Amino acid sequence: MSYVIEINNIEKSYGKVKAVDGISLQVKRGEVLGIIGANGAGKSTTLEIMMGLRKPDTGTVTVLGMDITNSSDQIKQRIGIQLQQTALYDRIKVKEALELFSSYYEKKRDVNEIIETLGLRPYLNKFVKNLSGGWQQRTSLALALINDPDIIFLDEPTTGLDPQARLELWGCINRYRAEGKTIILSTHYMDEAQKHCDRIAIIKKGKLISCDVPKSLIHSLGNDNATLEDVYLQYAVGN
Amino acid sequence: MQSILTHTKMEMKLFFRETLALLFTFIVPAVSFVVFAIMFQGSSYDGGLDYFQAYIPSMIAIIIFTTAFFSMGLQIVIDREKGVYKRLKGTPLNQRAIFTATIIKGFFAIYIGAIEILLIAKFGFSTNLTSHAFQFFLALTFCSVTFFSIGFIVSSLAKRMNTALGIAMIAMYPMMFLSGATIPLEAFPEILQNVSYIVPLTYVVNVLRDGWNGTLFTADALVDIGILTGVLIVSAIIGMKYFKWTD
Repeated sequence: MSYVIEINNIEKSYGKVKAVDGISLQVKRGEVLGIIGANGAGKSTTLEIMMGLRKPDTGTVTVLGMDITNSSDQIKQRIGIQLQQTALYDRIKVKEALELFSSYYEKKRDVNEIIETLGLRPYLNKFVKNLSGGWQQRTSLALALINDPDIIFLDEPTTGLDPQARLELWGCINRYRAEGKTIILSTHYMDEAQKHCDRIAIIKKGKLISCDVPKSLIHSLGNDNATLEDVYLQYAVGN
Repeated sequence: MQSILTHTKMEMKLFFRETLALLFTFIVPAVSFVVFAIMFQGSSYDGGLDYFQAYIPSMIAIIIFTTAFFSMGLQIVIDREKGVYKRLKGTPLNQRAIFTATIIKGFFAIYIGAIEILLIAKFGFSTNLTSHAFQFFLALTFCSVTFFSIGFIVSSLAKRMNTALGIAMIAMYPMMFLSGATIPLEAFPEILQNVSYIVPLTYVVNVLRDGWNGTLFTADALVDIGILTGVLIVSAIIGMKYFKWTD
């Protein structure tokens, strides 16, 4: 089995709060892995450790066969990230953000192709902060794709979007999934996780409770009518 | 290298889109300079300086302060709060490059602001500019670096934009009025003149005046330069200990 990410027994604390408590996980090449859990469960911290944005207190993380602490620069050339916030300068235009981020990478995907695929052309000369949430997220996704990454990290990509914008964003994400990109995302929308993710990791209080295909997780409840929402309530919220 | 250049160019482009930065860097000092020149250009100041010898350095000192506190200290907090640096951390651009771009932006703003004041003095009031350009440039660069380090303290102490703005606004009044940059210190009662000794911009005003008037390399300038060097060292130590690009 070809794993693009292997995390082994990682822990991360903020003061006295243990955000991640001994998580081990492998991500297969080309899969869409969803991470679910309540607010404060440790989803974002786990994702950010995989992205190289935070260092774990203990444990190891290997991304694309490289240790994240020793080969951070090489890894960053090959991953794309989208954070919960759009996280861009206040007065930057869409076109400028694309040019700026493109300059950071050695390998570049055709920017015009990304613009067309994500429908950003009418918005190129607009300030990112003046766009609606959906278009800001598309801009963020475009920046995550600018280096034609092997792995795309999406931290709650559809949070705060209306149903139409969510649907459209998933259309975009699925186009890149079809190219064989590995996608790792966190979400609070169980319908999205069930529909789009190959496997789902459930995190509760910093621990990995389960990681399996949606069908198996649902089957584990022993109820034929159960949904992933029931799985969430059982594993991520229940005591 | 290409990424550092592009990032620096973008930082400068974004600087020119910040209304507050433009107001404090280019408009307030220039307008103050013109208004004071109209009112006081026949007066003489501390040490027998004429208005232009005293106030060209003073207005440029204000530009150094506003750039360091607003365009750097405050702006870093705003960008950090928005998650910009966290997002950049996920790219191959390293933090040294971001720091370099921020410093270049600061120098760029100060030099442009200084040139603006010089052009107003030269063409608006037909005054002779300094014949000690090198000393003035040296003083300007040294004072800028010192205040950049204070700007980084602001962004080290303030986690939120409102806090940084509060610090900058509170610092603005003593810096503007108790440093000799706008109102001559001799006009104040003794107690306020004594307060000026703890206002770092006082020493910037003095060192810039020394540079402008060709006395930078004399014993008279040593105390001011020494104090600013101390401020620079202490600020750099505090900044290195507490400054963070991301939360």
